[in-house]
Amino acid sequence: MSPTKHLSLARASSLAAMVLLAGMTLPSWAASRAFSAQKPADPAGTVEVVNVEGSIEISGWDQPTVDVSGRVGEKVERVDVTSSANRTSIRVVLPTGNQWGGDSEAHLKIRVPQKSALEVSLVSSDLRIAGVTGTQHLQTVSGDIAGEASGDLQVNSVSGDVRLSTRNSHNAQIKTVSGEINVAGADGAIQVSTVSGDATLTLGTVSRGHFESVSGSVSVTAAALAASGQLEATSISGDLGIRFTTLPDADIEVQTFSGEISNCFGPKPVEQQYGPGNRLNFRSGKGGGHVHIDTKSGDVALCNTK
Amino acid sequence: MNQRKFNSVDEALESVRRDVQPARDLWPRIAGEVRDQNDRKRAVPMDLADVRAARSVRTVRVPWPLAMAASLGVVSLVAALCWSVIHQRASAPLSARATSAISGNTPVSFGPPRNAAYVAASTALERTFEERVKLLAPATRARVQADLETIRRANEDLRKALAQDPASPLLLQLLHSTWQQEIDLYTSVAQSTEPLLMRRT
Repeated sequence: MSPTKHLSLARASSLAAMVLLAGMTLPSWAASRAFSAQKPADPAGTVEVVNVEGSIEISGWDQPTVDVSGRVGEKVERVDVTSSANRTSIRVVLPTGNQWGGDSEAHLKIRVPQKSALEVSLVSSDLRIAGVTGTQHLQTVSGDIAGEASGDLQVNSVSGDVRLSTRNSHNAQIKTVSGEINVAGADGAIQVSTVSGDATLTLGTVSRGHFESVSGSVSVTAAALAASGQLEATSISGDLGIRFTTLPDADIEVQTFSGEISNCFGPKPVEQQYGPGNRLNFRSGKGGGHVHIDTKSGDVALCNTK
Repeated sequence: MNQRKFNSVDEALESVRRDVQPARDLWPRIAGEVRDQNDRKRAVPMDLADVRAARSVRTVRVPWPLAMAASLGVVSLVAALCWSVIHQRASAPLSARATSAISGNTPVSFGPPRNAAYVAASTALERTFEERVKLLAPATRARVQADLETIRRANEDLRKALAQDPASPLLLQLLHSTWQQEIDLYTSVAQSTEPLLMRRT
């Protein structure tokens, strides 16, 4: 076959594939419909969002209004946007006896007053947030959570990943079962719990940190440990990596049953004299804080970031 | 001999000097105690699997408004109940474990609490979960069930590890966490699927 003929055959195939793809996509897009609604809202009120399939994007703006727009699938019965007192609710409603299949998805962009508190509960829906500074309570079952968050955070994701950069978040609780956690910027009190997902945390000054995993690895990089701060990291088989930008003033206890300990700060770990495992205890700086790292079979790395 | 009274083994352990090394290697005897406890534990027939099997036998269908109201109540009840039970256990595990290790008479159980209130609430919550998970889209249901399996496997692994190392605070803490995570998962699914019930109004 000549190169020219080969090229035109390739072009024809690509064109056919594009037409086929458009043909497959267009009917569902055509069947979905546009939705938009606005409600006046308390500038520092609570916005509740409930969706059972699709995607939700929430952003803060400087208007005392909740603005909802997007597209909803043919099987979505309606989107209720209601408000009472200082609470605005956006709920995607599916029809009676809905059977899964068809287009039950709602893809909504929601603008809320930037100081709003958020209560979001999603199933099979991804969530993106940006520019909202109130307390945020985010819950997904099989949906990823991403974006920028501020204020106190409570995140509970069953299967989804959590990827958040945070600002002014001094109290955060993040839980997943199998999803990965990637959080940057939180400080103060932070609690992270995962069963099998990995967690990577880049934090400011930690006053109370509690990191717990069964088999996922946990990597924490903290700018500092607050005076009298407490940091505890535990796992069964997950590796634990704790890094500080500034050497903490803390009593440090590290223990692993069958893993290895590497330490950049103080003395070398010693094998337990009576019983199995490795242990490392030392005072870093003036003490006062407390770092406790304990794993059954994971490796521990305690180091600085420089 | 001047013997001070202690309220708990924890308190007694706190008073022991830590800079004194034991005169002999204590590990072989501890390992022997652990083996003995395992043998005794095998004689106890009731474990989590038995409880689950017993629960699955009596499944009662109720109308959905009642089920929803009941489930919401149950979710709150169980969350509070489990929280208190787990904290209660967490507050005194060392004394219980140390007592059993020292006396060698008390069998150690690492299953969930078995009191009637806990089992009843737990059964109701699990039943609600089983009903609600069917409302999820198939792909989501599969992910949730896989996650539940992950938690249960972790719980089982921890219980096995505790049978070998019953005095490990780490294992006990994480075992409690897996119970809490299982309850959290049930609660998440129950709460997140409420809109799927509401749409039937």
